[in-house]
Amino acid sequence: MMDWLQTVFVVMIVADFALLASSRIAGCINILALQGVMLSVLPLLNHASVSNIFFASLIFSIKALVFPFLLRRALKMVNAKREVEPLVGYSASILIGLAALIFSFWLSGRMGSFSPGMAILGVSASVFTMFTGLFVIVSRVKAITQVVGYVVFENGIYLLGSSLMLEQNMLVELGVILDLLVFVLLSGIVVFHINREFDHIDTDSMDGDGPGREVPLR
Amino acid sequence: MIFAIVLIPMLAGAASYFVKGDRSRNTILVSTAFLHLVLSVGSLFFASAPALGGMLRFDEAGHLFLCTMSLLFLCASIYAASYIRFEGAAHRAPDDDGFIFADSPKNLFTACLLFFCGAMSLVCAAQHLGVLWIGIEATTFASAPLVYYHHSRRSLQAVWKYVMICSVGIGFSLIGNLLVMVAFSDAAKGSLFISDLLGSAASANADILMAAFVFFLVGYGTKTGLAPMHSWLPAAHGESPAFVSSLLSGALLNCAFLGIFRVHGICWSAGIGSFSGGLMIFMGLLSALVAAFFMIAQRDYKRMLAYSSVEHMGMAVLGAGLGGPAIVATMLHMINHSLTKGMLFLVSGNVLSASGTRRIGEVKGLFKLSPASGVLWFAGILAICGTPPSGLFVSEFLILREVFSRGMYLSGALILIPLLLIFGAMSRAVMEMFFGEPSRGGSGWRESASTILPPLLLLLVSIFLGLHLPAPLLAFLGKIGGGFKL
Amino acid sequence: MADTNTIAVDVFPLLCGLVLAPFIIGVVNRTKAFFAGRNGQPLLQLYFDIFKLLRKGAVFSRSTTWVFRLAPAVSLASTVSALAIFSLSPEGAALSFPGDIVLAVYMLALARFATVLSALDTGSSFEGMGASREVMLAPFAEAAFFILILAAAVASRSMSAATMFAAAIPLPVRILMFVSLFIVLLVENCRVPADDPNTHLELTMIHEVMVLDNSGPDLGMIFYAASLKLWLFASLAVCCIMPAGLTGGIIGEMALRVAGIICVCILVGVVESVMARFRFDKVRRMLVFASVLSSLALLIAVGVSA
Repeated sequence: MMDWLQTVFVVMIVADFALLASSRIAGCINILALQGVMLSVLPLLNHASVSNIFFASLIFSIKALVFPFLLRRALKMVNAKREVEPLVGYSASILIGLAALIFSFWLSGRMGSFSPGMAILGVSASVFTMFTGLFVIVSRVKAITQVVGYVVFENGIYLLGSSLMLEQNMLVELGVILDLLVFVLLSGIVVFHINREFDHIDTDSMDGDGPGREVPLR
Repeated sequence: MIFAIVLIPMLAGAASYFVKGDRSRNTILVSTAFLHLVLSVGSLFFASAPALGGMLRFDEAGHLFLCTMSLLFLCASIYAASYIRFEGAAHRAPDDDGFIFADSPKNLFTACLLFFCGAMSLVCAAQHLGVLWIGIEATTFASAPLVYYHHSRRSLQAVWKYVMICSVGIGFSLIGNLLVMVAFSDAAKGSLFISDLLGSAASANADILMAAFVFFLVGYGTKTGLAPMHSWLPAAHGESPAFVSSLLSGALLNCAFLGIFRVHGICWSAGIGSFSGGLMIFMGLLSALVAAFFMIAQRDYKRMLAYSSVEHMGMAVLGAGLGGPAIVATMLHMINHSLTKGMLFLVSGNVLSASGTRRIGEVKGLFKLSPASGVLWFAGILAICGTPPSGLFVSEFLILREVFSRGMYLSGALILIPLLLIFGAMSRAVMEMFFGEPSRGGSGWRESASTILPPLLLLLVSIFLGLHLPAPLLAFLGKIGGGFKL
Repeated sequence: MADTNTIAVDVFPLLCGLVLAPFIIGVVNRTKAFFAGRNGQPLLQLYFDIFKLLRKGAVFSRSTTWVFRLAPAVSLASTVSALAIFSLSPEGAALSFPGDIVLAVYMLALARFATVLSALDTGSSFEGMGASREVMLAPFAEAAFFILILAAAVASRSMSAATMFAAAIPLPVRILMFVSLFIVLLVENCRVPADDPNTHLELTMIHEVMVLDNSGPDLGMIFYAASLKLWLFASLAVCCIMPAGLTGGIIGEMALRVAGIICVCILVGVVESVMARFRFDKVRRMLVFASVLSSLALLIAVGVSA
C-alpha cells in the first residue's frame, strides 16, 4: 500500500515536470486530468470507507472530468493558437523545476522532524506541485495557461492536506473543490471576454497597443 | 439574528436577480441595506445566540467591522441607486479610451452587490477559521463582476488581475489553515474554532504556527493590499464604479484585515506575538513606503486613492503588530479609514461624472464645476491625510505615540516620512483640481441629494469621531485590545 | 575461490548477450513491419548481414588514417567490456569489482569517442555533421544515465553493477529508472524520436551518417556493436523493473530476462511506428526530462535510505 501511495506522489511530480516541458495547451489540460485521477485515488489508498469512496468519485468527476472538459471547451471557443508561449524556455523551466524539487525535499525533511507520521515524499510532492502551479502562472503568457497553473496550485494544496495525515476534514477539502469550481467558471467567462475584446488571450499584451487606444495613465 | 444578517442580503440578491425594472431593484437594494444596518446595530444591544454550532457569533472586533461595513453599504447603495438610474438614462459614463462599451446586466450587478454584502457579513461573524476562509473567498467571487461592471478593456485587465492574484492569495491562506490544523493536532484535536485555538494556544507547536502565520499574512495580506502583493488593488479600485471602489476599499479590505487580525490573536496567545507582530510591523512599514512612492508619480486620482488605501492598511497592520494599547488605536483607525475612504471614493464618482476624466491634470475648477462635490473632495482629502479634526488624526497619533513610547525611533521615522510624502502628493493634486477655470464644458451632470448626502454623512461621522470619542465606544474597543496584553 | 560452476553462472548472461543480440534487432524490425502491414525481413536478418560483411573485403578512402581502421574494433571491444559488467546474473556478473559501473559508463563513452574520431577522420562534411550532432546529445544522455546509475547505487548501497539492481529498490524508484532508461535507450541506440535508423538522407541522420564510409568486416563489427548496445540497455531496463531471483535457476532467470528484453524491443518498435522524429532541440528537451526523472529517482533514493 505504501508503495502505491508513493507511486501516486511520484506520478504527481512527473506530471508537474511534464507540464513545465509541455508546449501544447491541450497537452497541459491532459496533464491536469491525469493529476485529477491521481488525487482521486488518494483517499482510497488511505482507507477505503464509504465516505472516502464517495469523496474519491467526487474528486474524480470534478478534477478529472469537469475541469478538463471546461478548459477544452474554453480552448476551442477562444480559438487561440495552441502553443503555450512561455516567457521562460522549456529546458530552463525544467531545470528551475529541478532546483525547486530539491528545495521541497529539503523543506519537507525539515518539517518531518516537527511532525512525525507525515509522508515526507507526499509533502515534497505537494510543495513542488504548488511551486509548479505558481511558476506556470507567472511564466506563461496566456490566460488559459494561467488558469491551468492555478488549478495545479490548488492540486498541490489538496495533496498537502492529504499527505499531512490529518483526519478527514471535509470542510477544507470541500472548500478547495468549491473554490476551484467557481474559479474555473469565473475565469472561463473572463477568458471568453478577453478573447472577444482583444482577439487573443495574452494577458501580457492587454495593456499594449490595441487599435484606437493610447497608453494608459501613468 | 446572525442568520438573518448573513442571509437576508443573499436572499435579497437572489430575488433581485429575477426582478425586472431598475426602480424595483433599487428599492430592494436600498431597503435591504437599511434593514441590514438596523439589524447589525440592533444586535449590539440584544445578545444574539451563536449560530451553526458556534461557527457564527459576534465578538467585539467582528461586530465593529460589521456595523462599519453596514453603514458604508447603506451609503453606497443609495449612491448606487442613483448611479444606476443615471447610467440607464442613455448616458455613458466617460471612458478614457474613447470607445463604446456595454455595461453588465443590471440584475446580475445588483445581485452581486447584495451577495457581496452577505459574504462580508459572514466574514465578520465567523468564529471558525474555515468559515472565515470561505467568507473571504466568497467576497472575491461576489465582487469580481462588480469590478467588471463597465465592460472596457482596462476593467477586464483589472478584473483578471484581481481574480488571479487574490485567488492565489486565498490559496496561500488555505495552506495556512492546513498548517494551523497540524500545529494544533494535539492541542485542539484539529479544531479550527477560534475559541478552541485561543484556549489551547499555549500547548500548540510554535514552529508550525509561525509557518502558518506567514502563509496567512501573505494570503490575507494579498487581499488586504499589503505591499508587495498590492498590485491588483490600484487596478481594481481604479476601474470599478465609484461605489464599488468605495465598498472594496472601505469594507472588503477590513474583512481581509480581520483574517490577519484573528490569526495574530492566536499567535499572541501562543506566545509568539513578537514574531507575528514583528512581521506585521515590517509589512506595514513596507506598504506605507511603497504606497508613498507610487503616489508621488500618480496622475490618476482614483488610483491615488487606492494607493492611499495601501498606506492606511500598512498603518493598521503596523498598529495591530504592536499589540497592547495600539490595538484600540488600530481599530479606531480601521473605522475612520472606512468612513473617510468610502466617502472619498463616492465623491470621486461625482468628480468623474462632472469632469469626464480621471487624470488629475485635466480636472480644473472643480469648485465651479460642482461646488458641493468640490468642497467634499477637498475636505475628504484633508481628512484622509490625517489633518485634524478628522478621526484619522486621532488614530494615527495614537499609533505613532505607541511606536515612539516603545523606543522604536527608526520605525517611527519610517512611518512619518511616507505620511509626509503622501500629504504633499495629495494636497498638490487637490489644489490642481479644486482651483482654476473648468477647461471642458459641463458634461450635463448635476449633483443631487443622493450623490451628496451619503458621502457627507460619512464625513460627518468621521469628524465626530475625531472631535469626541464616546465612552461606550472606548470601552468596546478596550475589550478587543484585552486579548493583546503586553 | 570461485568454483567452475559459479564462473559458468556468471558468464552465462554475457554469452547469451553475445549470441542473441542481433536477434533483438530483428524483433524491432518485425514489430515495425507488423505495424506497417508488411511481412518484414527474417528475424535473423542481422546475422546474415554480419556474416556476409565479414566475408567481404574492406575499401578504405585514401584520405583516412589508422584512426579510421582502428575505430570499429575499439568500439566493439569497449562495448563488449561494458556488456561484461552489465550482464547480471543472480550472484554477480562476468566482470565485477567495486566501482565497476564507472568503468562501464566510460567504456560506452570510449566506444562513442572512437566512432566520432573515425567520422572526423574521413574529412567528409556530412560525417562531421553527424559527429557534431552525436556529441551534442551525448552529454545530456550521459548525464541522465549516470544520475540513474547513481540513484540505483544509493538505493541499494552498492557500488558494483552486480549487486546494484539485485537489492530491493522501492517501486516508484524502479518505475522512474525504467522510464528514464528507456528514453536514454531510444537516444543512445538512434531510435525514432531522436534519430531515424531507416532514412539514408544524410541531413536527418546522426549515427548512420557517421559510418557511411565503413565497409566490409568493419561495418559488420559496427552493426554487431550496435546490437550489443541495444541488448545492454534493454537488459538494464528489464533489471530495473524485474527484481532478480523470481525463479530459482540461472536458466529460468535468463529465460525471463530474454522475454523481458523482447518485450522492451517490441515497445521500441511500437514507439518507432507511432511517433515521428522530433525536432533536434526537442530531443535535447526529452533528454533533460530524462535527467530530471533520474534526479527524482536519486532524491527519493536518498530520502528513503536516509
